[in-house]
Amino acid sequence: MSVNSICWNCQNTLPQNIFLCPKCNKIQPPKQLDEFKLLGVSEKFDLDLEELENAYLKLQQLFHPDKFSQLSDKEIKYSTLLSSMINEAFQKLNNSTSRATTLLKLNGFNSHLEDRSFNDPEVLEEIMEIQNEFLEAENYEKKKSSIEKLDIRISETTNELSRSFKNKNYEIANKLNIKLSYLEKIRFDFKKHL
Amino acid sequence: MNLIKIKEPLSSNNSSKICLGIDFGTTNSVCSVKVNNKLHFITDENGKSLIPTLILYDTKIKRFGNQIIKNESYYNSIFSVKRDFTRDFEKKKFEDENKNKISSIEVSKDFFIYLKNLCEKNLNHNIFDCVITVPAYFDEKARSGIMRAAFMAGLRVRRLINEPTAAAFAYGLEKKKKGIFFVYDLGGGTFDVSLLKLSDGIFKVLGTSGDPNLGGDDLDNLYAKWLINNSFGINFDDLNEKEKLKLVKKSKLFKEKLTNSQSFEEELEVNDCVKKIKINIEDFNKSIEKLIDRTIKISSELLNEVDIQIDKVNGFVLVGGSSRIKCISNKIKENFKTKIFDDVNPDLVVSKGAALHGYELLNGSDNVLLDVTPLSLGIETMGGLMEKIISRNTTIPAIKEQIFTTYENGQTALKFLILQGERETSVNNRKLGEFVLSNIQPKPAGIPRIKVMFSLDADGILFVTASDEETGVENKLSVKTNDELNLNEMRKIVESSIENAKDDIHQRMIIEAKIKAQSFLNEIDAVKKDIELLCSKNDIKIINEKVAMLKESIKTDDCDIINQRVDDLNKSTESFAQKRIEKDFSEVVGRDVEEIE
Repeated sequence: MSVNSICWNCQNTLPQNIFLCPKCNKIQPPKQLDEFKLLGVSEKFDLDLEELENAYLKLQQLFHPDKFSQLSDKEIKYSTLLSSMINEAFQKLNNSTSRATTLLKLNGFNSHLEDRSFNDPEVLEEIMEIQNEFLEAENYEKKKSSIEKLDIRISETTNELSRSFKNKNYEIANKLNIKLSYLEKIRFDFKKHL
Repeated sequence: MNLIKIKEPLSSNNSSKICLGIDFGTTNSVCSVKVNNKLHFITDENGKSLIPTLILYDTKIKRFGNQIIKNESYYNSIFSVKRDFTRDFEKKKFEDENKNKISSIEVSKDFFIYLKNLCEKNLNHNIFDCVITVPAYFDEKARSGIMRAAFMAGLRVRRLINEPTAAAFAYGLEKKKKGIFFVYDLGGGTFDVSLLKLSDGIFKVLGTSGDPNLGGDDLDNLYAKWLINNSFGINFDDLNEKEKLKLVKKSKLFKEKLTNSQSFEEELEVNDCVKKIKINIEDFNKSIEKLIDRTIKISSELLNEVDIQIDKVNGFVLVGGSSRIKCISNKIKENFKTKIFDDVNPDLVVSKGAALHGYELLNGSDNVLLDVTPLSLGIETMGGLMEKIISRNTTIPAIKEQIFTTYENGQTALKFLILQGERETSVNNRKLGEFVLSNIQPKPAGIPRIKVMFSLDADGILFVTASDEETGVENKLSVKTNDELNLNEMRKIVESSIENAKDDIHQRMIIEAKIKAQSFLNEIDAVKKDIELLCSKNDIKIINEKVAMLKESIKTDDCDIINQRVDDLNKSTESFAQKRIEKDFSEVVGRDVEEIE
C-alpha cells in the first residue's frame, strides 16, 4: 500500500513519511500517519509528557501556517492541514484515556467509549460509591478530600492500565480505560461543583 | 539653528516588509508598526496614538476620532460600533454624510480607511498588510464581519489575532518572560481572559474565556445609573436618549478622574437642573462591584476548566483601558493571591503584539503562536440538540470529521445547521448558517454515511464541507451572510486590486465594483433553477450571455466596465425578478398574514 509519491513542485521521488521535499524543500500534502509516527514519539502508553510536548512544539515551529503565510495558496493549505493534524495528534496523546484509545485502535482493538456495552457491576458500584460520598460531603474540606481520594483511584487505575499495555493484554486495557474515563469525567463534574 | 524636519520616505528596497498592527477597540483604537527593528505608534492629526473609535457623519463630511470636537455634534457620533459585531452588524441603521443608509460594517470600513490613511501619512508609504486584533471571545460571525470591513477598506488582513494573545506575545517578547501567565483583558466593550504558556519562542494559549458584552461601557452605565439615582432621585430609564448619553459620558469622565484622585466635587447637569455632587471612589466601586465579581468568576472558571492550579501561574497581566480601575487589582489579589504585572501600558500593548506578529509573518521568525478557538462548533442533530464537532479551547488550526446519517428511509437530502456556543440545545447557541446536501443515494434510514468536515484555519475562520462517502457529492460552506461573498472570494479580490490599482481610491473602487459584481453573480447562481423554470428560452440565453460577460470583466480591473455589465445583467433579469415575486406571492397567498411576516 505504500507507494512512493512525487513532489508536486520538482517531481522528485519522495521517501516515505516525509513532510518536506528533500530536494526543493517544499511542503508536501500530508499523508495519513498514526499519531505516534506523526509526532515522532515511541508507540507506548508510558510516554514522557514533557518529551511529547517538546516534539509537538518543535513540529509546530516548522509547520504552523504562519511560517507559510508568504507562500502560495497550495502551501498554505498543506501547512494548515498538517498543522491541524499535529494539533489533533498531540491532543490525543497528551491525555491518558485518549492515548490508551489510540493505542488500542492501533492494535486492532476498536474501543468506543460511547458504547453502552459497559456493564461491569463492580466498577459501576465503585463509581456510585465515589459519587455518593461527594454528594454527601457537607463542606468544602470534605469535598476536597473526596476529590483527593478520587485522584488516588485515578492514578491507581492508570498504573494498572499501563501494566496491561506492557503485558499486551488489550482486553483488560480496554476495560480499565473505560473505567478511567468514567473516573475522569466525575472528577471534572466534582471540580465544577466544588 | 532651525533644522527643517523632513520625513524620510521608506525606501522601496527596504529589507523588511511592513505590516500594521491594528487594535480596533470599542472605545479607542491603536495602530502600530515595526520598521527597521523599531516599533512606531501611529499618531493622528493631534499627535495622539490613542484614537477614539468615533465616527461622525455630518452633512457632506465624515469626521473621525479626535477630529470630533466635544460640542453638541459629539452626541450625534457613532460610539462603540464594535459592539454591533456580536449583534446586528448587517442592519442598515446609520446614515452616512450623503444620507445613505449604512450598516455597522460600512461604518467600520470608513474608520479603517481613516486609520489606513493616517498610517500612510505617518510613514509616507502605501500600506496594505495588517494584522487585526479581535476579542478572544468573538464568535465566527463577528470575526468574519471585522475581516469584511477591513477588506472593503482595501486592507489585506494577514491574520486575525486574539487580543489577550497579542498582549501576551508583546509582553513575553519584551520582558523575556517564561512560565504560565493569566491575561485579564477588560476593554471598552469586551472582557477576555486567556491562560498562556510562554517558553523559548513558543506562545501557547492553554485556554480562553470571556464575555463579548462586558466592558468599560457597562461600568459607565452602571455608575451613571447609580449617580442619577442617588443624587437626583431619578430613574435612569426615565431619561431621554440624549440625556442618558450625556450622563453616561459624564460618568466616564468621573471614572477616569477617579484613577488619580480619591474624591472630588463636580457639577452634574441633568434635565437642565444643575447639582454639585460629591464623587468618591467607594461609591464608584460599590456601583460596579457586581460586574467586577463576574469577571473574577469567569477567571476562576477558566482555571478550573484547564485544570491548572493557581500556584502554577506566575501571575496576572492586566490589559485594556478599563483594567486601570484600582478595585480590579485588589479583587484579583484577594481572590487569587497571586502576582500582578502592570508594567505594560494596557492601552497600547495589544496593538504592539499585533504589529510584532505581523512583522514576523511577513519577514519570518522562529517564534510561533498557538491559539485556541473560544467557543465550541457543531451542528444541530435530531431533537434540536447541538452535536459538538470542535470543542472550545481546541488549538487551531484544527480539522475534525464526523459521520452522520439519515433518519428516514429513502431520504435524499440532509440539512445541516451550523452552530457555535456551549449550550446543549441549539436555539441557545449562535446560528452560523445552514446548508443542504442533496443527491444522497436513497437508502434505508441509517445506512448512508455523510462525512461532515469542520476546518478552522489559523485566523479562527470556519469552513465546513459535507460529502456523501459513497457518491462523493460535496457541498461547501464558509460562514457568510445572505448573498455576500465568502472571505476567500473577498481576499482574492483585495489581492488582485492591490497589484493593479493606481492609488487608494482607485483601489477601493475596484474592490467595491468587484464585490458588488461577484455578489450579484452568486445571487443569480442561487436562483438558477428558478430562472430556467420561469423565463423564456430567449431570456435565459440573454441572461447567460450577460453573466458570461460580467464574469469576463471581473478578471480585468476596469471598474467602469464592471459596473456597466452589472447594470446590463440587472436589466436582463428584471422581468425574471418580477415573475419571481409573483410566484413567491402566489405561493404564500392563502396563509395567515402573521405567518407571512
